[in-house]
Amino acid sequence: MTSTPILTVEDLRISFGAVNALNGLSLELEPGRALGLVGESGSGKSAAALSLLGLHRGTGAQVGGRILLHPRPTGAGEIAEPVDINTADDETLRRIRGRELAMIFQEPLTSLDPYHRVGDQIAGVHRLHFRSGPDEARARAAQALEQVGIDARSKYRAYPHEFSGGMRQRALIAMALVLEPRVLVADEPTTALDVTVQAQILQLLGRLREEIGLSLILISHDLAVVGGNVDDVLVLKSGDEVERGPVREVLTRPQHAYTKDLLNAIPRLDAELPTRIAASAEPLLKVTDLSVVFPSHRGSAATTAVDGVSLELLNGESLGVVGESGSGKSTLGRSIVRLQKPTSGRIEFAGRDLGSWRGKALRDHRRDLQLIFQDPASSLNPRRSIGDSIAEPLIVHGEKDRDRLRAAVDGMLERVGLDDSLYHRYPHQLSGGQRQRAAIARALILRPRLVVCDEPVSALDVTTQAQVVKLLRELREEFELTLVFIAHDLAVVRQVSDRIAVMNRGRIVELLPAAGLHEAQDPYTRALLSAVPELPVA
Amino acid sequence: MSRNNDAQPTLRARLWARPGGRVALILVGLIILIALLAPVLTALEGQDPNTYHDNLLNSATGGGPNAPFGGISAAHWLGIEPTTGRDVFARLVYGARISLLVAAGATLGQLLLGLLVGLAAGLGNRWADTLLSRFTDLVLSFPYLFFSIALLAIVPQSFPRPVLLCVILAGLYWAPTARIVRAETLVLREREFVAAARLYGASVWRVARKEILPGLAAPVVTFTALMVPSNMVAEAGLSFLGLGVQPPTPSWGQMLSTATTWFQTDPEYVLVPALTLLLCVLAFVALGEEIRRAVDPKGAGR
Amino acid sequence: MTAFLVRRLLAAAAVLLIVAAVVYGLFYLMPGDPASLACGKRCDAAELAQVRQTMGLNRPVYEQFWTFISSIFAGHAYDNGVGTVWCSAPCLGYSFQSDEPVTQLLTQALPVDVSLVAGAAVLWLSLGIGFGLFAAMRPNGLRDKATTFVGLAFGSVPIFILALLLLLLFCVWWQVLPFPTFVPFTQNVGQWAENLLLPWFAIALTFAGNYLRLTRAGVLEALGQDHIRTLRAYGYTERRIVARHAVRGALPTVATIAAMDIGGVLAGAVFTESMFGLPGLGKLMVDSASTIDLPVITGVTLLASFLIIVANTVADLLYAVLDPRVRIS
Repeated sequence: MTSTPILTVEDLRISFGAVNALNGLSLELEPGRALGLVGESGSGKSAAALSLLGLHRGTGAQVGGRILLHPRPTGAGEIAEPVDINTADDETLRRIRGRELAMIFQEPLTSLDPYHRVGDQIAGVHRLHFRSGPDEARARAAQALEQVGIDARSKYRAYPHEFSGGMRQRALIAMALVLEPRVLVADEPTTALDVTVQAQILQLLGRLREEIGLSLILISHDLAVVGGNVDDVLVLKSGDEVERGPVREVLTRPQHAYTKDLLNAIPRLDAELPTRIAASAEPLLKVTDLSVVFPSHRGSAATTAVDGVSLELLNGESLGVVGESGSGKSTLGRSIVRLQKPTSGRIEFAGRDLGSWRGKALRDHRRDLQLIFQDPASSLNPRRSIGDSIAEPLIVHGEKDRDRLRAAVDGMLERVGLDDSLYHRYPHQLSGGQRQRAAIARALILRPRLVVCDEPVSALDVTTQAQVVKLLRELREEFELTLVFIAHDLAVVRQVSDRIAVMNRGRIVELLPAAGLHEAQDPYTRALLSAVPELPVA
Repeated sequence: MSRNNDAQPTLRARLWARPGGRVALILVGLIILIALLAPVLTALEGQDPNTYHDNLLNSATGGGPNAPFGGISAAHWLGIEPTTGRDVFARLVYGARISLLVAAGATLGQLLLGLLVGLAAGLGNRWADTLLSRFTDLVLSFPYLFFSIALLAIVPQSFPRPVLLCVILAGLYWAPTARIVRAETLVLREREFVAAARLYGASVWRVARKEILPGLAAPVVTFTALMVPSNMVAEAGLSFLGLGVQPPTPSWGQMLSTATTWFQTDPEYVLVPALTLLLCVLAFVALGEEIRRAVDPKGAGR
Repeated sequence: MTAFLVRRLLAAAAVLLIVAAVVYGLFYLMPGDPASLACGKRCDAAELAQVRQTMGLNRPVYEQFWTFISSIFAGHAYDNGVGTVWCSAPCLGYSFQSDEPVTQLLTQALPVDVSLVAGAAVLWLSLGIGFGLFAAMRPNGLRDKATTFVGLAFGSVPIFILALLLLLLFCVWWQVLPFPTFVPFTQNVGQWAENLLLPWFAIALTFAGNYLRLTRAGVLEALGQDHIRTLRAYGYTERRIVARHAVRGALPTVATIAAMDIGGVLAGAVFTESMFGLPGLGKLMVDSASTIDLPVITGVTLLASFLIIVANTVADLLYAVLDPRVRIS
């Protein structure tokens, strides 16, 4: 089927000052087709996406090459001749934006104007381009909202902050549809959303493609997300194209080593489980009917984050806690290490009531309970070298000898796979993965017995994620840790856990062995399972 | 334990690196130097701030200086004061001392009080925070100027005025500092590295000292740098109204106050202290702005 | 909304009460005899005793304070030796030096401040926001740096110096304007405005300097927000984005601070009034301070507090109205 492509990108190069983000990307997008652009941070995929709408203009970025937009075969539309978006004049570019190509972004929570009603914003776009009257624009906006599954009658006059994250992204998609563009560029549209919501949005995009023949450029770091939703895929690494082809081909028979790495790094629901460590029979941690209620603050109602949770953790066991945002999993984790005071309920550690510890006894027991935070950029003091940060727990507990301290820190650095020359480096000088390793080193230097990992890999690239998860598994064995691994990603949790607790709205809805996930009974768990994007099997 | 070579350069270094910062630092340094060396400078000139020189006055103008330009001469570098004949330059540099002294004292007081209340509110429990915040809000509702005026009028003259000025300015204007300290402390407190520190057993004290205070340094320094010129203006204003330091102690505000009646016949007498005050305020404000930019280069609106 | 208002009113009342207590305590319990202070230098022993009686200084402190507070609502009868003077509500005391109820002095002075604020606020907001926008349109360019510098300079000038310079320029050297006096609005609008021109500009130029920088910073920060990127992606012109949407983002902050500043100026622009001879609250304060007319001092301070508290409440309300994300409940 040879039809004129909508978009032809020739040798697109983008650099920001001395940094080259993209080194010569070429591609073609045909009508009705969907293309996936996959890469990790620094691959240049976002820079490429922004350039398609000429959004680098005025920012000081240097853009080279050509991005040719071809006119519509029907003759309608904004342009009569092919236009190079890189060199088009401002007026033409403004007319093209939204009308020929529309874009949705990664941050749906903040991409809508907070000061205007949602419906009005969408209608405003219509009026801007078509100079339509207020009634016509309003009708079109309502229509667009319905198309994305939002009830226009009740929600047209709402403000963005009244919408959930998923709804805001839908509203943004509605805005993208209202001018009837040919191409939708979706830059990581689901990364900031819960996995069930992600599935809905991807489904919506698929439906729109079918219904109105919308072409799609889907950018993501997640090959699995891209996998089920595009026709062709292009893999980028550090600004260079590494592999491309029909999506099934690339995912089942990858040619390039990097693609293979990416694929291997994705946690799969059907992957091998870690070998179970023989756990002792006595529970190390016993949580009974724990509740954490955050008091009402300035008008908003009191929120129950954790609602009557009970569980037992055996010594040496690894428990995974899965839930979406607002499920209470983080609050549960923090309560276990006494970072958060429970409102009611009981937590027993090694047979003793956590709540009864005070003063010096509490400080001593701090050695046994540790937590690894999600974002090492904020869990490490930016003004301290990582060596000092790692040494700090020892200093607080009385170690004063410099040589011993240094030796201990060097030992830990080595254990977590960091070169001990990095001792004097500051967090901002390290990569995300290195920072998280440093944070892990700090958590383990006191030889704790129980470690709660609160979304420890969510802020990392997929390949780095795999490495850190592997590290955690090894350390668990070596240090004989009891782990509580909290994440929103079922597949990731499964890699490290013996048992999995699924949380929804503050309650544990299901508790089952990791090996038995596919036999889950609870509807919420099943929804979570089905929402995980599947990679096609070879 | 670790060397600082990878750390970010110190504030002073960063300030010096900027051309604007360099100018501001030099100007401010000059001003402080002049104030400190007031006796030396006046000795150089050969005058002092209090001697009357009636012979140089013209009784026809009601006491205006005889010589043109307000009486500028080799002996009197900036002329003489009407009705008294006192040397303007000498009064100016001695007045600088008062200005800087009160500004410094007031700023220090505001800083201390603001830090105290702000830290206590930010670090304490909810009850302490609510109480202290309400108290701060209360103080913010006071009409500062009126209060200062009223207090200065009522307190008897026997109490040393510069000290009183410092006390009043510090006691009334600490609230904005407290607010900023509290806000910054709350932000820092929520940072995960503070939680991490509590996790491995660091005491509240240690956390405050090692994790929070360093983070406060930048915004506090910035804010303080801008408080100094505010206090200078406040002191000048109160002296202008006749409520600040009393004669014969020289003060720029006071000089301006008497100058207003003379600006038709002896404009120099107005312009000299006015421009001097203006220059000093601008120098300190410029320094404050440069500090703000050096501290937060990626802040909005650079 | 009503719940918010009620809560704020109660809080405001509480604050006012505390301020009244502090003011009263400070001034009346200070060293020095309040009666002689209130009466002035010219009083002899008999008058002094009379004043002390009238002011109720012979009674215990809490009773005095209670009388003071209740007079605000119910009025009070003052026996000044000649007869009784009825001081109707709100009664803030009686000035023996001027032989008038304090409230009267205040109501005479207030219109001056209102006139002052009205003109000055309009000026400083239009100048400040206008130039702030102007600078923000092309950040870090020459015009931005020049505008910001000028704004910084004007914003730092002590107002009495600016007033002095304005007087020098316009009344002495160039002689385009007469020395200002106050002509009430109700008497002659033209002269009212002409005489207030210099005071308006004195205040406005100082504030404009700060509002310029405030607006600029607010607009630039708003421009960095994600929803601005969305607007660009749909083809809105840069001009429209800055002038409408970025300003809208800066508006809550600027409006809030403007409300508070208006309250501050209303509560008495001491220096401006002194320099230009305007008989407003500020001048009243300075005059009563120099003669140590305690009842007036107390009354003016209380009124000023009241105005500031009202302004702060309005500021909070404004913020909630302008930013739909902030819920008032």
